[in-house]
This record gives sequence, structure tokens and C-alpha cells, in this order.
Amino acid sequence: MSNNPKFIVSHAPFVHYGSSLQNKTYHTIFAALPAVIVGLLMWGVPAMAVIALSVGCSIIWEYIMNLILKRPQTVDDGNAALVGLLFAMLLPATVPWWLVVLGSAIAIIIGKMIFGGIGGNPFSPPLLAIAIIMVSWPHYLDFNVALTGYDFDFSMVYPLTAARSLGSTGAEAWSTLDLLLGKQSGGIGSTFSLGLILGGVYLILRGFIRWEIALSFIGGVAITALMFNMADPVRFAGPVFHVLTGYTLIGAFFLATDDASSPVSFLPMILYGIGGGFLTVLIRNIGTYYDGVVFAIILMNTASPLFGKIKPKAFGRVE
Amino acid sequence: MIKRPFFVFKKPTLVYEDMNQGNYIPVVLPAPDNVTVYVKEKLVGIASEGTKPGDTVMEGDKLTISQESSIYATSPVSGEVKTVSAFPGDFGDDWTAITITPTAAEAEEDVAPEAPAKKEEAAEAEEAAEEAPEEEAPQGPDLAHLVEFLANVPGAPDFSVFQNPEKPVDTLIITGADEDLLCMTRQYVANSEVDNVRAGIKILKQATGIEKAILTLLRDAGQNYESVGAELAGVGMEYPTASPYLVVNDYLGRALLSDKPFEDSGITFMSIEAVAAIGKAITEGKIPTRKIVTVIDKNGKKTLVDVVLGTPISDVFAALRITAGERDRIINGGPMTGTALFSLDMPVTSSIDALMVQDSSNIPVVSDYPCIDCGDCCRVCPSKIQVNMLARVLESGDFELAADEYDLYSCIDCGLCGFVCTTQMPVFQYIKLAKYELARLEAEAADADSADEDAEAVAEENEAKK
Ligand code: SF4
Ligand code: SF4
Repeated sequence: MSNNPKFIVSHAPFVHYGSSLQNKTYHTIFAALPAVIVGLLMWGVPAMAVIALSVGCSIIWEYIMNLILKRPQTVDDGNAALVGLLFAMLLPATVPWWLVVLGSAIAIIIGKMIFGGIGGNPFSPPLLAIAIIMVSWPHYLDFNVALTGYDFDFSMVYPLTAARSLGSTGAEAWSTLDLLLGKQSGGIGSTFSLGLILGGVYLILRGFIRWEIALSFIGGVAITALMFNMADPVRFAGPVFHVLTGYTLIGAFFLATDDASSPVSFLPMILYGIGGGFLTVLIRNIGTYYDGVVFAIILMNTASPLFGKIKPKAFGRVE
Repeated sequence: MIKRPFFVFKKPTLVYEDMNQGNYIPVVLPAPDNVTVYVKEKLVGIASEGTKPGDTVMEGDKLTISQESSIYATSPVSGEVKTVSAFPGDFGDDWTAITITPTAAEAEEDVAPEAPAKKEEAAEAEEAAEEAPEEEAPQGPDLAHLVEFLANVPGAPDFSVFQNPEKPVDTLIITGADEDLLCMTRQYVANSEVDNVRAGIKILKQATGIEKAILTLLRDAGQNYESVGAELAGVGMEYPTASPYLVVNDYLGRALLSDKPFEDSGITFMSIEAVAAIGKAITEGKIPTRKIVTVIDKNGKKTLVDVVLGTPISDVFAALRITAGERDRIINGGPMTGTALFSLDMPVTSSIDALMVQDSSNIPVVSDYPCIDCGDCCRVCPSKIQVNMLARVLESGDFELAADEYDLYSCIDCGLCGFVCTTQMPVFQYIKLAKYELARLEAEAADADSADEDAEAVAEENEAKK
């Protein structure tokens, strides 16, 4: 063959849709920003420190793990930063620095890297970290204790504690608008409900997360809360309260939608979401923890492979 | 090509090219300085008499490697055989490449293909080509004649499928709709060669005895084809509805797995261009030697060209002022299912419908990132395969498990999973590799079986000797 240039010889398809992991993670971070920024304005410098530390540590942990495991560097895909950010958003602003370092290590190393990095994680990494801390050092996550240094024009009682001890009367201390605008105590990036909703809607419209999971999770929380509320309106707060407090919204839009730990087909996604929502309220209303989101989603993560067994009948298969 | 829109409400929709959206008239290229054709047979010694270097051949002449063999190429021009050399064909087959330099007269004639052939050689060539039809003209040719003369017409008809008594074929699907995006070759032929297609269908049905013919046409382009002797199947605009598997499913109600060729189910496919060529050959008494090719340049601009078979691809590009350089990509076929070529010296063969050039800066990278389980591939897959699971199993190399439990053979080879994959994994490549490997293993197993029998026979013989 004569002097031919060297052509690229590879396999079809020769074109790509243009989606990428980087794109996806950076847009998810972008979508989290409204809630984060309002959180920073509320909780000030300590919150800033927690977020910076968490994001920084997560990136460093992933970098180190890749070195140790002799794998190609992956920090530039932004996922480590996203995990760090989401983890920080769940924490109270006053959490001690070592817990942030440790938590980000749990999220990245145990939550992600030992399973082979992104895609292999059976649980949402930030959720796994917060779950382990909730079990091991619960008092650092007790928002009523942690946030006593703050004085705002709204009740600094953690809404879910109030609802637990005083029932729907306790829940009445917050108007829906208060809850939407973030006038409640809670994690750095989990109180500004309106911001989380905005971010979530953005992610859904741009196709970065699945609406099936997010909406069925919220639906699951709302329906279950409504049923409790109807059964005993005095003891149990209503659906709106449950949707707008605690980790419900950040869970629905940012945590339950983690790709690797959630199902991919329609029915499994709906079951996964509703199941998570149901368990959340169950734990909140009659369980040991104030907020059930963490364990509810972790449980559903565990069940996700089982949901995967409900698969559509493929072309040409007779079963 | 389509890119991810800002808002994503549903899965991407890729649509076939609609010729009526533009004014597509093929650019007629003159006969080149030399043409190359392949005989799909290993070169042993020198070629047979009449096909050796220095021999003069006529347009339509058969070129063979050995006198006994039934495998041949058809000379697309009259001229002198320049070289005969071994050529590595697809998948490790050994072929033979024959290069012919057309005589000046031929070249001139081809500039104005309509002009009646006055020159002596050209007239002779025509005579040679007419041989076949002349004998059988009144009844129409039988299958043996088609096999004998028309196996290499544009569109590459495969007549062998009609001759296999073990796998009788009862349905012929003629593809008037292009299977890949951006390609318009078949659509053009369907629009412009109505009479030849009609004649071709008639001839084919007669020669093969097949009752049921189906003609696929993009959307409802069927107004020219009433009572054509084939059922019309309007194919939707949305990729991949023209896929053979989906056509069979939609029009015959049979969802077939891709582990066996269609012929095992009594179905076979033929390009509309081949049907038109057969019709034309018999009615005009001359073997067609020109092919329509859709050329897609680096900017995605599509041009139809009308070229002599065997024209080097470099000549086609030169005529359209397309430059292809270092690290660019040349594709035989369309963007979703084509195959990359490594040399511009390769000729336009009877089966090349489209040629696509991609600039090096435009070639999407394939990453070694793992699957993140986003599920985009599952949602886009027309076969409802859990591609994320399938990809995992294939990565681990367990092809049989993939075939048994993860629906590998439900895949209709559309390439959409690779097109959308978030981490740009080579999902579709894994699938193709797995299918290829499994087919190879199966063939090996079959070989081993017969080898076993041989070994047993030998053992028995030895036993007897003792
Ligand atoms: S190529 Fe991919 S998307 Fe197309 S049928 Fe096969 S698995 Fe499904
Ligand atoms: S599109 Fe790619 S990354 Fe997403 S699930 Fe499919 S194979 Fe995995």
C-alpha cells in the first residue's frame, strides 16, 4: 500500500451524544450551589470551613487511594468533590474538624474506592459516611446541641425533634414558607428547601438525575406522612412538614439518585423511591432516629440489586 | 450529528436522512486511471488465463483465479490487467486483488456514459456482457444465470442463500431504506430506478421461486411502487427502525435473536440497488458497473456520487476535494454501524453504500472509565436490554453468561448504547467482540467435533493394524 496517512481505525459507533461524567458531576455541583450558598450565609465561617475541608479532603483521599491502588487518576471527573460537598451539606456547621476528615475518608475510601471507584459503590458514599457517624458519634450530629451558638429569629429546635416530642403541635412552630426559605435548624446545605427544589428541578430537566427516583421518593414521604397524620393528627405531623424538613429534599434529589446504588428501569426506580420515602417516615415517626432518610436510602441501596432483577423482557426473548 | 440538548425530556431521537429535504443529484465521476476488484479466493500461483497481468479484459468479463473455481470478480472496465496480488480480506480471509487499467476508449466512453459505444472494443465488451441475457431472454433468466453473471453487481447480492437446500429461504426483504444515519444511497435508488427495481423484483421472484417479497421504503415513499410484486413496508424516520431485526419484527411479527443468520429463519435481505442492477442488466443486456455512494465529508455535508466499481476511494475524495490526513478517520458505511478503513487505496466495492470522513479533531474519545450505572444505555436500547449489566458481564469476559442470562443476542447492533454512554465506554464494541468471539468458539467447537471423529477413526485404524 502506498504512502497512506495513518488513519484512526476503531469501532462503531463513530459519533457520540456528547454526554460525559465530568459534565454530569459539575452540573450536579452547580445545582447544589443555591442550597450551599444560603447555608453559608446562615451558618457563616464555620460552615465555609467544613465545606472546604470536606471537599478538599475527599479529593485528597481519592488521589491517595488511586496512588495506592495504582489506578489512573480520577479526581478530575469531579465526583470526589461532589461527594465531599454532599457530605458537608449534611453536617451541622459546628462539627469538629477531625470528624470531617474522617467522614470524608469513610465516604471516599469505604464508600467508593474499595469497590473499585465510581460505578461500583453499593451505597451513596456521603450517606454511608453520615450513617457511620450517626451510629458512632451521634451527639456530633445532634443539631439541637451542635447549633446552640446560633441565634436567629426562628426556633433553633431541630424540627424533627420538635415533631417527635410534641407531635403536630411541635411542627406548627414553622410555617411552610419558613421551611422553604431555610428558616430551620439542620445541616449546612439541607435546610434551604427552595434551593434544593430548584437544584433538583434543574437536574431533572437537564436529564442528570432521574425524576422517577426523586419524585417517587418525595411522594413516598408525603403519602406515608399523610397516612400517619390521618391516623393520629395529634401525634404525627403532616406531609408538607415531612417533605420540607430534615434530609428529605437533599436525599430525594442528590443522594437517592446516586447512579451506581440505584436501579435503572422504570418500575424498579419507582419502587425504590417510594420504598425509601415510606421507610423515612416510618423511622421518623416510630423508629429510634429523628431523621430516617439516611437509613431509609441505605436500606433501599441494599435492595437495589434485587430491584434490578425486575427487568423488562428483551427483544426476541421468550420467557 | 445530534448532540445532547439543553433540556432532556426523553431519550435522544436520531432520524434518518430524508432525501427530499435537499436537492441530491449524484456527481458522475469518470472512470479512474485504474480500478481494483477483489476475487474472494486465495491467490495460488498466477491467476487463470485471461486474468493474468498483461491480459486484456472487457467490461463485464469474469475474472477468476483458477479455471475450476466458481468464484469470480466482474471487470467493471475494458482494459489491461496490471497487477494480481494477494489481499487480506475481512476476518482473516485471503482474497486476491486485481488491478485493471482501463483503455483510453473506455475512459472516454465513461465520461459520457449515455453515448452509444462506437469504438470496436467497447462494442465487443457489450457483446460479452450480453451473452447471458440473450440466451434466456424470453423466460427470464434462471437462478444459475444470475449466479453465473450478476454476483458482483452494485449492491452485492448474495445468491448463495437461495441455493442452500438445508435452509430454504421463503421471504426476500428488499431494503429500499438505508440502515444507517446520513446514508441516502438506497433511498436514491428507490426514487430514481423505479422501472429497474420493478423488473428486478420480477426476475428475482421468477428465478428463485420466492413468493413473498417485501420492499422497505423510508416513510411512505411507496407511490411509485404500486403492484410491484412486493409488499411495501414503510419504515419510520426514527433510527433504528430500518434495522433488519425491527423490519422483520414489524412486518413479519417475528422477533429474532441475533445468534443465527436470518437465513436460518427463511428470510434474506437484498439491497434495492442490487435488485435495480439485476433488472437493468437483464433489460438492457449489460452488466451495470456503476454504483451510487453517499459521501459524507468532514463537515457532515452529504454528496451522492456515481462511480465505476473498483474506483480507489482516494479518487472519489479527490473529485470532491476532500482531504483525509493523519489521524483522521475513514468509514465504510454510516456513523452508527460502519467500519473504519485503513487505506485510501481501497476501491469502492459493490457493497459500499457510504463513505464518511471524520476530522481528527472530531473523533470522540473512547475512555477506559467504568460504567457508572446511569442507565442511559438501557433507556435508549430498542431491544430493552439491561446494557449496564451486560457491559459488566462482558468486561469480565464471561461471554456465555452474557448470552444466556443478559440478553446478548437480543441486541440488534444499532450502536445507540455506545452513542449515549455517559462515561464513553466502548459498550457496543464489547457487544460486537462478544458476538464475534462466541461465533468463533462455536465454529471451533464444530471443527473439534469433526477432528475428534477423525482422531477416533485413526485410533480405530491403529487398533486394527495391531
Ligand atoms: S447496540 Fe446497544 S442499544 Fe443497540 S440493541 Fe444492542 S445493546 Fe441495545
Ligand atoms: S450509559 Fe454507560 S455509564 Fe451509563 S449505565 Fe450504560 S454503560 Fe454504564
